[in-house]
This record gives sequence, structure tokens and C-alpha cells, in this order.
Amino acid sequence: MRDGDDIDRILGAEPQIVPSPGFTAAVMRAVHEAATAPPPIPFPWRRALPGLAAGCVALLALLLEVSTRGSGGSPAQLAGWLSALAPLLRSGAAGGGYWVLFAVLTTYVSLRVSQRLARPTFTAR
Amino acid sequence: MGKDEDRDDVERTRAGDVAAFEGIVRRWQGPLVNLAYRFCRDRGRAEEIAQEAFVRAFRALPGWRGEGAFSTWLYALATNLCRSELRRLRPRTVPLDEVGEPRDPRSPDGGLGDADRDRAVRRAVLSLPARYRDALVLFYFHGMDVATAARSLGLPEGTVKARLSRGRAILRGKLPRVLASPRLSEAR
Repeated sequence: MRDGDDIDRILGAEPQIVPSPGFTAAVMRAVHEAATAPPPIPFPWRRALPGLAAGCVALLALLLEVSTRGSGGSPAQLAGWLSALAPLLRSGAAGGGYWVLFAVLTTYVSLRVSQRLARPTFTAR
Repeated sequence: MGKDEDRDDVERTRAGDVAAFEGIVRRWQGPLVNLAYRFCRDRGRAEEIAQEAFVRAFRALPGWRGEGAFSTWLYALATNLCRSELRRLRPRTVPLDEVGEPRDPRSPDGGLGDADRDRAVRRAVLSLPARYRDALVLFYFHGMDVATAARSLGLPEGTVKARLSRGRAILRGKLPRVLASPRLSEAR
């Protein structure tokens, strides 16, 4: 590796650093803490799976619906759907309060569901 | 370093003797701190990373199958940690364009020039894209042993060789005067 000669000389001759005197003790303290700490809480797959499966099924159903409608459709039909959506979006923009309320409710429900999922795992340990 | 001692300490630790892990720490603290130092150039942070590597090794010890050398496994674990820490704490690294060459690498006093040159090259290595930086750091850390560097990185040797070559080419392009210093030629 002729092209690396200068670099070899510089990087190959790095001075070694010596760990601080208390390093071993600090590491062993951390290791003992790790040994006595409870194992990490596993993700509650058994509880989450039904919800995830339902979400996947809903998404799949939506995709199927769109594809079956879209298969016989045309650009004009797509434009029709978009124009049907437009008033909905306009009314949402005008009444922004509803969207805020919807967002707050969604957050609240998500929070409650996650708390409900997590609580039994904590008490079990 | 003692392979038998490592295996012995690993078995005792696995059997529940946490204190046996201290033997591993004592044997490998120097190499791990130096490895981390080469990735971050900060002594305090190097010790933090090395400590975290030991704790992770302790936690992962039950999963070590003992197929290769313990050191290979430990280096691979520490290398992954160093790389992820560098990604997480990116602001302390220096962009390649900001790495400047010393005004004159042939310093008349005969001492400062070498130090400046070495520092510039080491800073330039850290500013390389991660794939080249990692290959160069591991290659020189392992005493220019491509096979060991490749094992630490979990890559084929050919890939590491290619990355070393490309990394050196980038360094040479960035620091042409430093790496063409006449003093280096005279010293050969």
C-alpha cells in the first residue's frame, strides 16, 4: 500500500492513553447496577396485536375499496372524487375549531389506551 | 491477552459471579478506551463510551456463543457503540472542508510542525464519511491488520480494503501539502 505510507506513519504511531485510576471501579459500579436492575419492560405484543391486526385489516379494506372503484374509473372520475372532497376540506378550514377538538380527542384517547396497555405490565413486576 | 482467562471470567460471570467481570474490565479497559478515543478524540467521552461498552457487554454476555475470540466480539460491540455515539453526538465532529492544513508543514523548529501535521491528519480522518472513517480508525487501531478490522466492522476484507484505499485518497486530496511533507520522505 504505497499510497498509504505517510498516513501509515502518522496514524499507525498514535500515542496510547491510559484510563483514569478510578475507571475500573466506575465500570464495576455500573455493571453491578445493571446486574441488580430489573430487566427491560417488553413491548406488550399480545395486547397490541389485536389492535394492529384490526388496523391492517381496515387499511387493506380501504385499499381494496379504492382499487376496485379505481379499476373501472377514469381521470374524470378521480377529479369527481377530489371535487367531492373539496367542500369538506373547505368547511374544515372555516370551522378550524372542530379540527382542534378532533385532535385533542384523538390525543386523549391515544393516551388512555396506552396507559391502559402499560399499567398491568408495570404492576406485574 | 489471555483467551483462557477471558473464557473463564465469562463462564463465571454467566454463572452469576458479577465480580468475575472485573477481570475482563481490567484486561480490556485500555484497548476499549483507546478505541473510543480514536473515534471521538475526547478522553472523557472515550471513557464514557468504553464504560457503556462494558455494561452492554455484561448484559449481552448470555448471548455470546463463544464461537470466536472474546476480543472479536467485544471489539465489534464497542465499535458499533462508538459509531452510534458519533452519529448521536455529531456536532462535535468537524466537517472535512473546515479541516485546514498548517500554513507550512515544514516547521523550522523541527518539533511543532510534526505535531500540527499529525493533528491535522487525525482531525481529517474524523471528518471523513463514516464508512471510510471507520475503516481507517479500525485498521490503524488493530495495528494495520485488515482481517481484524474487517471482523470488528462485520464487513468482508475486500470491502474494508476498498474503503481504506478510498479514505486515503480523500485524505490525500484534502491534505496534499501535509502528506507530501519532505521531512517524511527524509525520515524513511
